[in-house]
Amino acid sequence: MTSVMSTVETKPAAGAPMVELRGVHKFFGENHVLKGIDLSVGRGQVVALIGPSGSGKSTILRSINMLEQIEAGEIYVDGQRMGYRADAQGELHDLTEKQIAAQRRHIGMVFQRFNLFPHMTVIENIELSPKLTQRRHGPALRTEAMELLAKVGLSEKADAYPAQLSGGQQQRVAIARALALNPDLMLFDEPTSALDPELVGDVLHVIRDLAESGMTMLIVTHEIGFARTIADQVLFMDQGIIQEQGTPDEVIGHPKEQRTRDFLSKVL
Amino acid sequence: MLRKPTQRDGVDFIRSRPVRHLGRIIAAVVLIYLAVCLIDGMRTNSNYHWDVVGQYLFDVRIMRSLVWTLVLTVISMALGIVLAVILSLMRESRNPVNSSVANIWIWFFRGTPVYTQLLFWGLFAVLYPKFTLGLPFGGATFLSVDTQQFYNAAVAAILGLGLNESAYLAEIFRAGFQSIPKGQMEAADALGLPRRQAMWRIILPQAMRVIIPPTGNEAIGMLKTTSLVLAVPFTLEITYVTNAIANRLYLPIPLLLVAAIWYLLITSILMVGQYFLEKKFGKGVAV
Ligand SMILES: Nc1ncnc2c1ncn2[C@@H]1O[C@H](COP(=O)(O)OP(=O)(O)OP(=O)(O)O)[C@@H](O)[C@H]1O
Ligand SMILES: [Mg+2]
Repeated sequence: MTSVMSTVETKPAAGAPMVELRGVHKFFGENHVLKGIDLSVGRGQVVALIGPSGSGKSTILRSINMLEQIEAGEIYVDGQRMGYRADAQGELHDLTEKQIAAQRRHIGMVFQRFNLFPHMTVIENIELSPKLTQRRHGPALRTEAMELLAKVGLSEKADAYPAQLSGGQQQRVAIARALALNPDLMLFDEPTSALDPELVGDVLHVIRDLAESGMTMLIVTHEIGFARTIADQVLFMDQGIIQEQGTPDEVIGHPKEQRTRDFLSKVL
Repeated sequence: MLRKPTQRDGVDFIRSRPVRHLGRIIAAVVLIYLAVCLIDGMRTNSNYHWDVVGQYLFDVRIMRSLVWTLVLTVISMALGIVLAVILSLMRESRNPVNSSVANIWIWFFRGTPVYTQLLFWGLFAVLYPKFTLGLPFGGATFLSVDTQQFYNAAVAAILGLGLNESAYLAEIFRAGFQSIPKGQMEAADALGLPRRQAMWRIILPQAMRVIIPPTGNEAIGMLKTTSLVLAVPFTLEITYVTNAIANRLYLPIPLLLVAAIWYLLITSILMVGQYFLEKKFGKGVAV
């Protein structure tokens, strides 16, 4: 595929996880935000990440696609070490900006605040990354972008500007935009927490469709009910540590840890 | 005046008498009276010498000076913009040498009068008669030319105006770039867009919205600042030329009017251009 692939370790076996974190630490100055995170998301799996504010959930997602740089540990996506390559002697080298951009193209990310490009129409937002990074254009690209837009139920909004859409519609466009490069993995950071309650349903519906289509997803959410029904695995996080993990029934239905119970009693 | 609709879809709209603002009406009447007096005064007062204004407005010397004024404005502004873009990039650099040089540059050119700078550039060829490229402390020399060969009053004027302008524009550009929320660059990064493309397609077009109005002001300011290049001395732009003619005729007023008319006309054209640029980059702004 890209030159990055060839320089990074061997391709994993088919059963290997899509995402794997090993002993990941992140500091913001003195603040130790991630304290040794190990997690893995299998291909086609949906993992929900829950936990109190400030526990480090967003930081995990942002570290995976290198919006934050970790201080220790290893992150693999589809078997590729993110951000570094090892030479023959096993010494690590930083990847160049170009190589990092190439790695990020395998990962779609959806933000709490949408972050659509306000000076472009909906369809321009969606077409931008295939246009610039795959040099694609013309009717074939347009058809594909319109298909994505149909998938999120917004075909009639192709020529609208983001400011003309409701929050829920903007977030669905953001999902379509993230899907435009056919990512192997989708990261969602509280995709519904900036929305009015009546708009949440449409967005969750789109995410659920994606899950059913077999997309690998890591979702940070405060919608516990949603996490319970959509996730294969739920991780409960507090103070920079994954405190408890298991199936939704185990973690949400029958939490073992006191912290988990305290948290769930507050949000449920 | 546009009349409000009185009904739509069979719904009668509220009809009411607006409040009368007596103060505003009086002020408007007084202003109209003063304006009429002023215009009539200008028309009838023979000291304005409108006939001389008409005679010189399209004089070939004036036309040539007008072209020079425009050339100075456009090239100095272009130089200022290019330098300001480089300065803004240098300031963001993580390398402290780059950011310090940019900051010192801006400190210097904002901190001294443009007139002083123009005098300096006028004396540049005296200060450095030979232009030599080589290693410092008496090392090897790669290139050596007489400064006179590429340096003249026009170059001095453009350097003086452009370098001074770059310092102001760099501040304007920085404010423009800082006005873009952090999430925009993050979204571009997350999509795997190369940095340059992200700057060019995402950040710059949005920053333009903030950058254009003050840059339009700067362009208009530049047009008028060209009247100072007499300090170099550069003597082909319109203020100097009209002044020279006026001194010969002993008629300062009509030639001041000639210059003022041309400055106003160009300023108006620049403002129209700014209006269209603002419209182009105003896309997608919430109304
Ligand atoms: N850019 C930053 N600079 C400094 N500290 C940061 C930064 N981003 C996050 N932090 C700190 O890192 C910790 C974890 O933040 P993070 O955003 O990952 O929490 P979160 O679990 O996503 O919380 P929330 O549910 O409120 O979104 C917090 O203490 C936060 O203050
Ligand atoms: Mg968060």
